[in-house]
Amino acid sequence: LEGQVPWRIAARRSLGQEISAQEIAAQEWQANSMDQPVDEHTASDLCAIAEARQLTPAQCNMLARNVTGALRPNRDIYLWVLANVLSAVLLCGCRRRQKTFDPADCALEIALAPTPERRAALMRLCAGHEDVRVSREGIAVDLDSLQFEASFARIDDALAFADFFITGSDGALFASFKEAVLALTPVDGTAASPHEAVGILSRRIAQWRRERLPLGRQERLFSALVGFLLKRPAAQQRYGLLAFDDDDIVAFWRTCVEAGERLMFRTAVERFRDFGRLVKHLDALRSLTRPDDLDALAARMETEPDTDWNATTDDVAEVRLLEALKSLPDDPNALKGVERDLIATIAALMPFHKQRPGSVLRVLAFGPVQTGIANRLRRGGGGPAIDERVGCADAHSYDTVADRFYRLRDHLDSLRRIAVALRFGDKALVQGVDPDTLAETVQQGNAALKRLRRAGFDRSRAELAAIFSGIDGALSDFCTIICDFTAEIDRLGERRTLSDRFARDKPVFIETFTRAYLARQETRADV
Amino acid sequence: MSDFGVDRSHPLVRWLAEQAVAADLFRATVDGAATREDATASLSMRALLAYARRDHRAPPSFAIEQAIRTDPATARRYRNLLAGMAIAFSPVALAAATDPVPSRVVGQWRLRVSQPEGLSPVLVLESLAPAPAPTAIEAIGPAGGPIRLPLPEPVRGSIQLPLDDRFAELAAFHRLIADPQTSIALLR
Repeated sequence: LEGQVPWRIAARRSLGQEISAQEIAAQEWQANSMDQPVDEHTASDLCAIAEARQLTPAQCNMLARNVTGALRPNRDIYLWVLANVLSAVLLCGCRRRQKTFDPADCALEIALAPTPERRAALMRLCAGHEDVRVSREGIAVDLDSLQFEASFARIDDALAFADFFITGSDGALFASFKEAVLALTPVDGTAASPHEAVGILSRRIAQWRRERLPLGRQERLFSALVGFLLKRPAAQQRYGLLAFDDDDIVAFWRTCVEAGERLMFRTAVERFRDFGRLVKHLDALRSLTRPDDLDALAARMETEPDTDWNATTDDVAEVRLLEALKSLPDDPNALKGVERDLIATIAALMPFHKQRPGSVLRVLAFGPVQTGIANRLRRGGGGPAIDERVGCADAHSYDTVADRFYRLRDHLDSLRRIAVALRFGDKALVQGVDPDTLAETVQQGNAALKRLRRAGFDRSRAELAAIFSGIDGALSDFCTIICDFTAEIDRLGERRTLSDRFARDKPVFIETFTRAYLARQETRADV
Repeated sequence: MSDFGVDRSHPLVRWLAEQAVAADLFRATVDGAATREDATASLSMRALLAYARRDHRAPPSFAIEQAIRTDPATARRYRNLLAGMAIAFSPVALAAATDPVPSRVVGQWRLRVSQPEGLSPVLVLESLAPAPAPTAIEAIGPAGGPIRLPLPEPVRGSIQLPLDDRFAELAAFHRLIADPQTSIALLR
């Protein structure tokens, strides 16, 4: 029943079909939650494409942005790359075999070929043409009707997007791809202009987005968030109209709950993070004085062509960390599953682990309680009852959460020393490093290695050194973000003890959970 | 939820929303162990596309056609791909027409079945406007299929294919196109 739309339930009712209370509970959860899971269907389409094309996480990220249209200033930028490349490729193919040339076939071959084969195929197709040159970097086209250059990285992203048109959404977009290819077919030996093809693809994907993406829900949430910040009393805006702190996030979340929305606290934190990123990116925090300035912000976003709005440094850092976590080998067991999960949780909330550690602690302590309630509602049962859960008796205290990260930090730190020992253990001197410090670190690393009792660490030193040489960069990155976070926790604890903070926060969360999940049931019983 | 007077279609809000959906999809893609299982359970789109693009004289694959017949999702995908591949596609078949001799316009071609006395029925495709001739015809519907038949060269703008009842495939094709819910595709 999950994911079923309300009208379908209504239709089943009108047909006299019986619907269990459990189904209604799950349905009510769906209807009142702003945290519906992503469209599984689209996610599985993207998974299939990522697997077939062997995409890196960074490429997956770009694919997701292309599909959702989250690109500025020009959301069709990759459609232009795609149309330009296909136009040039079709011209070369057409010149080669005039009679038997099938443009759709040629476009599909290029779009669906695995990366190394595709480059070879492009080279072969365009060989011998002065005006279409394929080099190791990319393609340069200089025709009367078509001039452009594109790097292979861009072309790969554009073709992954084309893959979505071909294989995504059960093939519903495929006809528009074919139509675009026909519009790109050269006429009388001249390359076709990409305008028409871009128009076809852009209109079709825009329609698909309207039908399939939960954009409306997100828009509702963000407009509420921005509005909330703007309408605060002046005293709370002393750091800027759009500046916010940990308590603003909680206050916003409570407003949503009071308005009848079962917003996940974690989602509220993530959305404030997204908003903070954008504002930082626009670098206009201080100059903002009036709500009208929002329009000025938006205008900058839409019109500044030189700025790359599409990836902030934090965003890239998150993708890189996930990439490193994913490619970390299971053997030797340097990081256990729970340890990986802790790192992934922090990566998902970056850069709040440094800027808003208080909110991160709140998510880590009270988030699981709310997830438990949500899962119980979704499944219609299982585990303790809701009125028991809203009491937050199972919530991990901030001290417990902090302890986990202290332990993870210590473990990562000793892994880092082990990496140093394995890399530099047999060298007396390394340029730019104090020999005494190095000797001490190597000694600590060797001792840590001897102490470590985990699967796979009983290998020979040479084998371990070979494995570590491939992962020590990633381990160092993990260590850095976890150290950053624990340092921030220490700073928080200095101002007010963590147990005091937890004692103050707990009643607030209990009250809000009660309001969100119990008050609603009572009103329904009244009706 | 109150939006405190901030327009929901404001470009700033819109951009944030698109980014949030992209981020959700990205995360689901990177750690999408659960969804991937689901994707491998049925035929991949790539396999279906390769099948739709196969040489017209290549033997049909029993396993793939079985999947198309039994799994509605696979059938939907295959139909969409076929519609994209075809030079002309009609989601409804001959029988949807009301003429005594059922006929239907698919792209630039008029399809009809003529049944001369005492002879096998003949599928006739007449060109309505100058267009490249299809080299195969495929029918697929809830009643069966997909069945793909190679077509002969056109003679004076018309293609004729006898649907001889003695051949099981031709007879099945004839039955299939009599069902109004059958889709017809002309392929090159």
